[in-house]
Amino acid sequence: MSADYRQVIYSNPFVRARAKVGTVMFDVVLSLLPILVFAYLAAGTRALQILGVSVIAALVSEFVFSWFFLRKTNSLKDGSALVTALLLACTLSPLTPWYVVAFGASMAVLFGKILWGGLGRNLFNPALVGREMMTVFFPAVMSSGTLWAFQDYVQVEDIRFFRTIGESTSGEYWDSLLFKTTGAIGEYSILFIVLGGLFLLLRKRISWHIPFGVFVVFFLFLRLLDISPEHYSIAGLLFGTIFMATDMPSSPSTSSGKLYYGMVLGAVAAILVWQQVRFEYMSYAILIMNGFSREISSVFKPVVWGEKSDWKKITGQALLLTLAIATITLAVLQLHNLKAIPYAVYVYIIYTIIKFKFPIKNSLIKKQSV
Amino acid sequence: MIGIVSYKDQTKEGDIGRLESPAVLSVPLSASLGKPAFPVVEPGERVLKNQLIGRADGIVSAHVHSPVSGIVLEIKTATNISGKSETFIVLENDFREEALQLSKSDIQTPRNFVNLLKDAGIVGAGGAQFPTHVKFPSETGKLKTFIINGAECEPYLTADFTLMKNRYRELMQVVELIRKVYQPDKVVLAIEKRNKELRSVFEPYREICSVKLLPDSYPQGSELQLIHSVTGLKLKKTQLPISKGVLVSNVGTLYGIYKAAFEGIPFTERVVTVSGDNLEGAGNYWVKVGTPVRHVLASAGKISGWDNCHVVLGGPMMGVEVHRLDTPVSKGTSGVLALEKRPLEAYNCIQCGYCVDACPMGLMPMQFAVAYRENDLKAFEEYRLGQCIECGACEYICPSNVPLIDSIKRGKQFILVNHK
Repeated sequence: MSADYRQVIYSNPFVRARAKVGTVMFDVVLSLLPILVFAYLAAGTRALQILGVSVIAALVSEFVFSWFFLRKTNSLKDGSALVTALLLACTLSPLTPWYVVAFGASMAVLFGKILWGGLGRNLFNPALVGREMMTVFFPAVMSSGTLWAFQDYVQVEDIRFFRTIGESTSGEYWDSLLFKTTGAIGEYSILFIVLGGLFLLLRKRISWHIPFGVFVVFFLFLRLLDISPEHYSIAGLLFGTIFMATDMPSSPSTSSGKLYYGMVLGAVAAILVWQQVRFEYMSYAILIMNGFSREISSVFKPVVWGEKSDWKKITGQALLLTLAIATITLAVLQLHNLKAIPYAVYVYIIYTIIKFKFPIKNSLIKKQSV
Repeated sequence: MIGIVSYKDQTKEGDIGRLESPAVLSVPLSASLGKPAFPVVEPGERVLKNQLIGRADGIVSAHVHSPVSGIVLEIKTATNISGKSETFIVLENDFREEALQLSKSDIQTPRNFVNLLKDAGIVGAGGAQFPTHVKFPSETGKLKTFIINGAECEPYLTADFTLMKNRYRELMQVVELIRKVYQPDKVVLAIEKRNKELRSVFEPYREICSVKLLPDSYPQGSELQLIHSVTGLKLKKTQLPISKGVLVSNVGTLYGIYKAAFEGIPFTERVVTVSGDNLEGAGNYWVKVGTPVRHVLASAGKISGWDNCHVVLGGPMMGVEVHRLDTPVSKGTSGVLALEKRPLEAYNCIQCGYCVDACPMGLMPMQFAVAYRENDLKAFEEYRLGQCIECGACEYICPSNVPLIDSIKRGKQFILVNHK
């Protein structure tokens, strides 16, 4: 018994919901649009150049690599390359050199997605894979002290919206949420990051479980570990949680799994912040959790109709899982402190290539997508 | 459960029409998963309308009667719509309508009642065609809650709705009969919110039958989900509802019981929704069991343009496509639909989890596609394939058009084969 899954077999149902993969991706792009407007206000054409280079590099790579490695020529249609490109650009400084951006976007598509077998089969968030590749292969550029000094490009210094309509003290606070001119391209408007998230929530492109889990546990850990606010960026945390951690292929597929995933993600991120990981804590935390999302889905299954969950078994498996995640987190922390993260990335590159050339069916791969 | 499209408006208005009798009928002898009926007529023999032509063979089997008077042309075996071989009695209609009647008896006891259901060949009209006489207990005291399933959650279909709207007196006569015979604690008619105008129709009968409004979600009409919505009981798929004092009958089945109990007519005819995309003459019709689909569609007004249509028996969610238009309507055919073919593009599963949220049984449908692709018997069992009711909600919602139902159906066969 074998079936070619590229070919659609006409069987019931004969009616289908209108929303397809392209619709899902289009909604993500829509939710990002206001954020991109603020990127222009904060960093002018520099921001637009970064976005443009990222998009072009990702689309070209998608077309070329997907034709070369997967023999598919229509994969641009699903819109995932565009989303990856925008998300990647949103995590970068407006001053990132164009060739580094192009490299990142291209690697995001190739090593983040294509070599896994295309959209949906990837274990890790492609945009974050691209970002890590940039840090590893262009360390001087990515950690340069002047990378984030883009004051000269700022178009609008300040937006006085809430101060105009309300009183000045709280107005100032709200205006800072509406617009500020520091951080990465996607981080200038906390308000519109949240609104974008609400839009995706209403359209059911994300569910509340992951963001809820992340925020509750992250802030709980902040209080427990007594971490002061200058060690992390709220905008970065929000952007990562809403747009990156909820990425469908790399996050769990069940509600309880998503809640667990979000909560542990919040804990991992907080621990990394606590251990002085300055800029990469969100990327690391999400990538670590990505690696476990398929396992999480299979541990946190929904409750079968008319039956009761085997709580003993689930608790046992969840404990093991948590232990494994904790171990990996400690390992990543060690590598980070030893400045050995590049070696982890090299291993990842070799692994994806070998996996692509010699597909092995082990239990982990089996749980992957269709 | 999920909200889905409706497409019911084009057939909701008006009474039930009558299709001309076809010249040739092929009456199927099998009903549900049980044994098919055994033919009791010979080719060349003349039969009267309502005459027994197939005798129930085994416990889960139902009698089959002739829908017309005429000559038995042949008893043929052919592949049915599910790909299994099935026996049909082919009848030539003489249009004389010379009819027999079931022997009338005063139904006082559950045993009488069950015998009547058996004599009349009543099966579940919702689609599963499970013999109704097997479902009803043959003693009093067992049946506490009788639920009439008026939740017609499949898009396009309005056959039950029209029956409730136009034949409510007859339905309530059956309710009175069941009350008299079984003395249940309560009888509930479960309908969906979109049909709430029916509440006023059944208002005069509130003493004998209460109306329960259910959300317009899919698959609300599925037995387990329906029982839960009405009584709060969550039964396992393997549990018989009557073991908890609950029994569910479809509106169409109930009307079949009316015909048998009050008019002495066995189950040879049913209401079928004829509908689809751009179909002229869409509506609800009385159709004789055994009528070829071609005749149904042609009489309803559309005869050309098949090439671009899926012709589906049943609803669009769970129905089966027919590739031969001489396929007959059976006792379980609630709809004959001509649905426009639309190009489908398949993507990889993107792990969105929509199918998991949609699954009424609490399963992870996307895992069945993986398990089927990898012939992974263990994974099928780990993800509880046996619990799937094949409602199709998962594939309806899937943004990648992953062939989930196909994997599920083939997966069940795969398990059967590998367990032998």
